[in-house]
Amino acid sequence: MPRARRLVLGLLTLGVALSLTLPDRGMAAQSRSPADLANVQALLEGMRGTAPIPCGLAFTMMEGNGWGNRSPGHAADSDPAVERIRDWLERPITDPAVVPLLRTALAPGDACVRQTAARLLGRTRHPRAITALADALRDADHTTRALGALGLGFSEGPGVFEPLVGALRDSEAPVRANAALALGHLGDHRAMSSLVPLLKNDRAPSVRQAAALALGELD
Amino acid sequence: MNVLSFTGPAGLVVDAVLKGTLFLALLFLASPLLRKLSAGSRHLVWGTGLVLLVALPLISRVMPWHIGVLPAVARAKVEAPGAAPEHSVTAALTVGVNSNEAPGAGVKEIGVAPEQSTPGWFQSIDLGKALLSIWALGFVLVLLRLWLARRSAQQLLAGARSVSGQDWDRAAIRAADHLSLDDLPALRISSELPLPITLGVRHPTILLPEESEQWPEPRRSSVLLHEMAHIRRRDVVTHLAARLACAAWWFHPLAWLALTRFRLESERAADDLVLAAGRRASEYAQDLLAVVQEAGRVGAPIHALAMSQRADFEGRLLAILEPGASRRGVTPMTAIPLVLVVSLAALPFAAIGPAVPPVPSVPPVSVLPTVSTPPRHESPAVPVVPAVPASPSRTATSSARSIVVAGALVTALQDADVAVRRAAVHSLGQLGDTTVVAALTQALANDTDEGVRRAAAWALGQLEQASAVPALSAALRHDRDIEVRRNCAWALGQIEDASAVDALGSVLGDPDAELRKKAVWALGQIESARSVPLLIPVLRDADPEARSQAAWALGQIESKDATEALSNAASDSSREVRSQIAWALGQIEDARAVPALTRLLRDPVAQVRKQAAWALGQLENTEAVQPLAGALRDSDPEVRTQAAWALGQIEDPSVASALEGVLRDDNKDVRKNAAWALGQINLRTIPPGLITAFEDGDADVRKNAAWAAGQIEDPAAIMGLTKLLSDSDRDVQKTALWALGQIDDPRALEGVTKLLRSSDAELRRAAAQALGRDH
Repeated sequence: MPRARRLVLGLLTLGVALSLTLPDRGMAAQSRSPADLANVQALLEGMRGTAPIPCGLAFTMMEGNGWGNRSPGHAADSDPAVERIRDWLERPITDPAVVPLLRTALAPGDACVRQTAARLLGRTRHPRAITALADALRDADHTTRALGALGLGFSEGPGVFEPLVGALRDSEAPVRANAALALGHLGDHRAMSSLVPLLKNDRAPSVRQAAALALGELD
Repeated sequence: MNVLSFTGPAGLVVDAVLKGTLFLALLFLASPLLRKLSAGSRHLVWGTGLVLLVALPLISRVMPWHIGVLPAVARAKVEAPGAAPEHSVTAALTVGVNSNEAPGAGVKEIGVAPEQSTPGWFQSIDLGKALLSIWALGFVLVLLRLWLARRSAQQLLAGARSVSGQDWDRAAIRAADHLSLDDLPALRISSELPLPITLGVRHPTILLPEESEQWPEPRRSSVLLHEMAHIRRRDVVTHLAARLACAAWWFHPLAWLALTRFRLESERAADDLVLAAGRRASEYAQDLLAVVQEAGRVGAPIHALAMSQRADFEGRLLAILEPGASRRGVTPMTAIPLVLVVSLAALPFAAIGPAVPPVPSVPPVSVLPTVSTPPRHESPAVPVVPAVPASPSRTATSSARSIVVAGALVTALQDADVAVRRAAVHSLGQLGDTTVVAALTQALANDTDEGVRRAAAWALGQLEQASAVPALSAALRHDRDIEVRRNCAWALGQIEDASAVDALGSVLGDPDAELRKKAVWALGQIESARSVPLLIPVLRDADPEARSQAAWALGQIESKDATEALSNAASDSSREVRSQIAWALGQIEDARAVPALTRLLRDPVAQVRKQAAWALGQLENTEAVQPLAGALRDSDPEVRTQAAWALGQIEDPSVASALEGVLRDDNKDVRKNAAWALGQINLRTIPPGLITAFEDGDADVRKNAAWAAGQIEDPAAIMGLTKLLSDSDRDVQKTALWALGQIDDPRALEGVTKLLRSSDAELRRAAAQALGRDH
């Protein structure tokens, strides 16, 4: 299937799932917490079956990290479904009850569901979510570890930095690369002493590339 | 290099100056804390401060303790030929460049090299003696000025005649009784005096102006009470002492500022005594105002105590009218603690070393209304920068951390993997470390991957270092990838270095329109006059965007050499180009552009006409007056608005009637600008339409009309302006107040005086400002 078609399919799935399940903006603004669990479940189900690349692209697009760094607010999409997704992504999930569900979704299975779960756990920024992602970094499955690093890159607060530095010594290149990018995303200058050797010595080009990009992001 | 502190007399002077500066700065910084005190107490604080200022060097000498925090009050020592340095600062900072050489040889010093002794005329001058001589000269000159002022006061006194009449005697006795004065001062009248003053220490005399004979009895009482208050407070003596202190500190602006505050507080303290004697504040303020108006601009002799000086008039009025202000006199119970506190505050300065004092902030004085001029044309949007990831703003840093990161990234530029090299270049651009320019120029010149070269050009543009210009210029001319060349053009525009002009000029005929546009943009950024002949042919480019960009660039450069070419291009088929040309001609401000701009003022496109009107306003040329007057009838309100503004810029009175006509325009912006323009064009009589505009439905129009009336200063506006004092809009009220203050007619001040009793503090202040102006 051509990449563009898969992207559209992924977007549509995400959009339809959210537009059917998410509360209206007004309601959501007052209280999101009771609806978090149902929304997260609906979103994970909606993402199921989407190929990894369209899945990642869809999130990148929604998060405003692609398309010339335009933020979602500048995209001015007239589609109400897109707007609702954007709204939803911009607000933090406050209900810690979603953490076990998302941690379970990180386990081997559908690739897009796993990636969605990692990102959402990171965005939750709840101490329990950070603990869950740090646990994922010690998982036997290397993809779970890589997803854990990805999720921690979206988190802030205590307990994020050290696990990511530890993940730079992971045996698998994707884990090291994601950990490097996550450290760059956090922007903490303490990461420099770990990233510089990685850039110089890592055997995997993707890890060296990630280290180079991350070094440019540090404060 | 050694440093040597001042020694001997010069050292004492510098030491005293630094300590005195610190002490004065402390006084000014602490002055907001004195607000709650009475004026008499504040006067005592400033007086004590001035006395201590003189005494500080003496106190320093007898201080039993000393805090050794004196900084190096030093100048570079001019070494005597052959003198050995006391110690070498650079000795410890050495690195060997060749370990095989003998010890001491081949050692390169890091840091500042020892200063070479250069014989010169200045070496023969003893700086200490020179400073002392300059100080002594200034001191003598200030004393001479004081003596001359005293002589002129004596002459005034000799030429004065005694006051006759029982009215004065009765008023003087009453005033002396109120203030518990034992001896009545002498009262004399001088025809050469503008305002009342008090002279003499042992036998005080109150000198009155000629006009005082026509004063009503209450005003006489006010004046006598005020002057006798000075006598009771012995202000003549303290004033003289403060002036002598300032004579010693003549070179120090803070000392003169302190004297000003001291004098102001003495006036306010005298005012307080008058009010404490039972005079009503509002009546006393009226009397003060009347005395000032009669006095005009002439000042009193500098050593005399004048009742009303213009400089502090506004503040005094407000202080007089301020309800609840402390007006207590100074008693020993209040004076002793105050003097002790100020003296104790001075003691540490006598003991410690100086530092740079903070300068007290001076409150801004707003005297003019805000007049809204039409918005200027904005620069055209800069070309779209190369598509590269945006970076968070960073400041260039050379910290150790940055050096380590930059070093690692520079090493990664040699990585075998293209993706790593691209990422490294990108991060180097993000980092903002200017030490990596050479590595990036190498990557730009030699990397086999066009992605790396593109990113390198972008990164060099981010770093904005002129040292990158040769490499960027070469790549701009010769790189085989068009994106690299475009990024180079953009980067050169970012760097804004004139040495790039030739390279950028060489690609203005390139087949790639995007590259041409970026090069034109870059030339506009550089703003070098050398670019003008290169840019002029681009005004005929096939691409309208390139033509528009060229017009913008020429406007940026503002060279009159472009006027003719731009004028010729004003009939361009593209409206954007014509609009841009009008803007550029407005930027250049060359009168030769008037015919072309006049044509553009008749352009079918309103945006172009608006731009042309703006440009003609920029030119301020009277030849444009008639075309602009015609544009006041334009179908587009924005054009009319701009035309009205432009006419105000040109300041030609012949368009008064045309501007008056558009005061009835449907559009409020047009009316607003027309009113403003009428104030600009130097009219002597106010057009009736402007008075009608006082009743305009839009507050901004009323405000500008009031402002214009203030500019014209025609008494015919007084009635209308007085009505505006009760306008619903405060800005309009304030502007009307200001305008009435501008008009030289006593009737104008009647309404203003009433507002001195307004419950609105801001309006009271505006009224006081209006009254304080010269009439």
